Amino acid sequence: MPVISYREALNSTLRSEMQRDEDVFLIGEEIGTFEGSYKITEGLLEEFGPKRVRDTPISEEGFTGIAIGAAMLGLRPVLEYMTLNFSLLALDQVVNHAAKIYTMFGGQTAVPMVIRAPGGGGQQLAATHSQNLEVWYAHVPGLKLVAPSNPADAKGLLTAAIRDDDPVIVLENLSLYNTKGEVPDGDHVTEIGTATVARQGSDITVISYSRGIRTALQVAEELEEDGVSVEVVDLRSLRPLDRRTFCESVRRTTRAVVHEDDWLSYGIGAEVAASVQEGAFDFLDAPVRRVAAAEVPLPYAKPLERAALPDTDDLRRVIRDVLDATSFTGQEKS
Amino acid sequence: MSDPTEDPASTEDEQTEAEQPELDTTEDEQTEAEQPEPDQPKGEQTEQSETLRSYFQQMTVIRRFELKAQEMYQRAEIGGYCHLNVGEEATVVGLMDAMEERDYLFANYRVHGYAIARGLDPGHVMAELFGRTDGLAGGWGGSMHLADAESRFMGGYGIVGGQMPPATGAAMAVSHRQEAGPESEAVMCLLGEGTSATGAFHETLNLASLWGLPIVFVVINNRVGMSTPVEQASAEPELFRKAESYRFEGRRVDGDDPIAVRDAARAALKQAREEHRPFLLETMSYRLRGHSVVDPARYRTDEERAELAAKDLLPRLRSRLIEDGVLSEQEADTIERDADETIEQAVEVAGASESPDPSDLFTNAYSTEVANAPRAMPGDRVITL
Amino acid sequence: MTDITMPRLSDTMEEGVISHWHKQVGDEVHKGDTLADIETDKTTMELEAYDAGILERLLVSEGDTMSVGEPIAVVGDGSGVDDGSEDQDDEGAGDEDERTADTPDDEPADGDEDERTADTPDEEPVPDGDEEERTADAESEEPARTSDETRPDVDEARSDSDEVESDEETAGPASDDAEPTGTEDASSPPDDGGQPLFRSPLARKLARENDIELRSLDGSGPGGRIVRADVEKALEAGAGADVGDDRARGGASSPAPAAVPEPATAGEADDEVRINANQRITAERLSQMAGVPTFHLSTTIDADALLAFRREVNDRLEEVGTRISVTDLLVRAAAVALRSHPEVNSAWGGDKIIRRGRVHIGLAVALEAGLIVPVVRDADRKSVGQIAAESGDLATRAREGKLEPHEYQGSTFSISNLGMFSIGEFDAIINPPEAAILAVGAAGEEPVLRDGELHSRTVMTLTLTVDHRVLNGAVAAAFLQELQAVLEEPLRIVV
Repeated sequence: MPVISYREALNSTLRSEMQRDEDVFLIGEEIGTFEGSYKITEGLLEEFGPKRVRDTPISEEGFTGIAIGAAMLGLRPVLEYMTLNFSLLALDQVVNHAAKIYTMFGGQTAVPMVIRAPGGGGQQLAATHSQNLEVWYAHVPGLKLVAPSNPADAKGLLTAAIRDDDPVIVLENLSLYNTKGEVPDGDHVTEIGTATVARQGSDITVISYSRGIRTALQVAEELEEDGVSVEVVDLRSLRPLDRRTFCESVRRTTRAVVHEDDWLSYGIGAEVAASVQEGAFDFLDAPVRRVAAAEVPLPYAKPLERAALPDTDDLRRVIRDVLDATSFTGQEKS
Repeated sequence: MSDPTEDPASTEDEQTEAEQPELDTTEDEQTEAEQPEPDQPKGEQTEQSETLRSYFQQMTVIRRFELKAQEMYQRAEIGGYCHLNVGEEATVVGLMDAMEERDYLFANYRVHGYAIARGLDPGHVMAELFGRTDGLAGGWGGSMHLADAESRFMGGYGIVGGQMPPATGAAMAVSHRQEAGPESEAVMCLLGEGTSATGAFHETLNLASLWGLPIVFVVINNRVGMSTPVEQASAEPELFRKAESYRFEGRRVDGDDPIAVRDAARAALKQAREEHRPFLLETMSYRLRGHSVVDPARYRTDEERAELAAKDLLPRLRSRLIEDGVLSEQEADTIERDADETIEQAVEVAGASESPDPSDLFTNAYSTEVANAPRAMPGDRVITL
Repeated sequence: MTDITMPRLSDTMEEGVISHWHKQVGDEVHKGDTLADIETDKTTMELEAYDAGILERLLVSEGDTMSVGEPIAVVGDGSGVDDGSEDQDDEGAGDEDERTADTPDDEPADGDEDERTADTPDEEPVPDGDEEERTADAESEEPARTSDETRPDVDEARSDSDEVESDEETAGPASDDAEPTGTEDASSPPDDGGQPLFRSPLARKLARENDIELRSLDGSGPGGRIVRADVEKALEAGAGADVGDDRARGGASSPAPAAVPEPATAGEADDEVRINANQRITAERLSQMAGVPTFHLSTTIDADALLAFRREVNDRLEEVGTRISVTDLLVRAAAVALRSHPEVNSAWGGDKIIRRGRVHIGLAVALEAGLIVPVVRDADRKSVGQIAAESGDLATRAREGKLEPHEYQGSTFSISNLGMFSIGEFDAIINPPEAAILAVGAAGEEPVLRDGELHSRTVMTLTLTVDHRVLNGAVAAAFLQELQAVLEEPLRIVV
């Protein structure tokens, strides 16, 4: 399998889906001539022309609604927000229209559209440009929300999203764009609504998604040398949430930590923890712990930003805490 | 004072001056303006008579429907919000008559009349108000969210301005697939005058003009947004002028004159179709009732109420048609009785329709089935292993 | 300080079984209060308090048998309260009036599984409507409760059995949720000092499965929380009976029934035969099966090889003094077949199916005093000889009424053999919540043609009764087929 970057996976998926289906078109700010703020749409204007790669003025509400209307008539818009933070300008269109139209009109009109946007902090973009707003959207029935953590899933989930007849939000992460991984050639679809065990282990389960998976895998590698076997569950899809996969994992390992880049209160981790206590209560040897961002508007200054965001050290410390709380010796019979 | 034969392509200056009915226009002046020119050929007169007779019949049905909706609301058969087209019937029938079958309609939440005039069965409209399975949206939408994809009525929208970006998107899809020309589809997007203050209004006008989209924005100016007069909501109360800053054409027309409305809308749609350019049409009408059935409109003085009642277009149209010999008293009575009959039947259809079954709660959750779709009812376990 | 002793409650009574404690250590006792339900050789009686004071100690657990006159509890002024039963005030939130005492939570005293009423549906099927196999009269029973909800990380054992009523006579102060607090298991040995017991859900589950007394363990987790590692350490050190019983059982466990000959009545008048606790429980549990969708599968096996094998084994074991029966072979064969068809080794869990991790075979034994089903645990891991020794011992003690509750609870699959009564074939009723029961008929001769000549062969009819909610026909049939194959090739039984 070829090894390519997350960015290349997204770019080549857009290209192949546009070749495959002429109803697919791109819409967003600076995606044509400029080729995207993060170069996800590189080369596509040249190949498909301005009708299929539509640069928009700075009017998120307007062009989001336009994508919705176009989708209602059967086109398949793939919309890019320059960053997820700007999606707030279009919240009404996403939440009150894209998510509702199919159900509210009694199933008459589907809205086959995709919204792509990078979220995440760590680039010193400060408070308004560093958010992870996945919880806002994960909360809304009628939407589907996926958050690929690696190039293969970026391809598989974006493909699934484009072919799906409902509004799907593909949450990307700025810090993942340059990461590389093996990506299957040809048609590759990852089923929306399913989590996966990204790494098998027997002592503790770390549940995460998007960039958090990279953090978790790195910590898992390091801990393996210390004789701790960490299982990593990649949620991949935040709506619907595949509770079974992570509950089954926790039943095997008896310990759970949720790692997320977003703020802690009311977060994905809260939902996962609640589900674990319902789906694996008798198998828990310690309370479910959450590793998440400090609840402040993200600061600009590097040391402050670094402190606010959860990293490998934080995750490692919490894993250790949970292991210690269960008198882990490394000698467990699974 | 609008001239139904006015060419929408006439210069802006002419238009804006000639076509603004003064807000205090007297009845007489208005009705005079609506009378066919004496030198019109007979054939056209007959045709216009037929049209007016048909309009009177449709408007009567809509009026009776709305009054029945209010009654049914008070009888608790209808819940939620319920906004009536009472006073707006001429605009409704004129606009709907101007549309072709292939055109798309996006509306706001004051929409019952438009659904009926678009040709949908009043029974199915009433059933939606009742929240029944035979309703246009199967009981999922209610009064504000009537929709019928088959007749390209793409829905009523309850968020002020919310319908404008999707309507513009539909026009974008049309331009994406079709060349401009007489065969092209077009989109009509209805909005209230209060909507012209929203961001969505300005974003979509800009985009529609920038991208050359076949869409006619129709501002149904009933002069008051809930209780706020248009002059207090918009720095430019002549709303059709707002198109100017986006370099496309706007025009104002008397919303109490169904023929004038039809002709102006036809011309606007024709231009949208043939040139793939947007148009902003403003119709001037009166909202005879409160904002919704639960609004007693206390912000109106008794004097204003009396004035409004005098302005009610339906009795005025009735007398005019009888005066002009288009209708006899008996025919007018018959039309009204038939309308009552139609609405009674609509209520029967609605009442006989089943309520949706809670087991169908997730039937329309997603168009594409998806793994692990949430199906838990309140209190259900979210995971059992 | 007064010792309460085992009362004599009938003319023929020599010993009694505490079937249910109505009071807990720390409770105030008034004259006339019901202290306990005592099961005698004839029936269940209430033990009334003759002394007022504070119940300081419970000397026996529910299910324990004591001779008449032996001390079973101590009532005093409260100074000698045995803290082992939890008179826990919440630290910092203790309300003196709050009655928090109840079970030493979650460790059922040996063999007493009252805790099993806890709502832990994830692994314990609670047979519908019978969460409490109480031996006591229903009207004198009270819901088992714990006041654990006030403490973190403590089991919430709740009975919502509908057969219990609160005893209005119970004058114990209301527990924190103002419901009458019933007693549960008698406390385990005295311990530290009324500290609440903290343990992880997993530790609780493991302890329950392995009959470990949690209170006897030191918790190595935060704040002394007992975690899985602590339970495993104890297991390695040989604690706990290896019972692996994860069956939901409610209420005080029934004692091993003593065989009581009912007095013969003369004349022709109808005679009411009083049933004992065991019979009542059996009846209740079998009644649960009414309305359960079951189906039956029968097959006739060629038993020649099996009988020959048995003879051969017995000849070899003669010097050892062990004799194996056909039933022993059936137990082992069923266990072997269950191992390869784990779906049959399951239980109905109300809204789920519980796939059992271990294979425990119950053997229906008929007593004059009712039916009892002693359990051969881990039958798939035991040799036929071991099984024979165990089942012989179990059957003997069953007839003597000396079985401990854990010896007749927790089976995952049952066998009923009526071969000794010359019954050719029959249907057995499932032992809930198990998925199936095997009914074995008598071996009989039948003619068979081989190469044109008439021979006779020995056959046995096996009938499987199956809970259709758990298994479908094809799965059950595959299991029965496998069992037949194993029995017809008996070497597979021991391999």
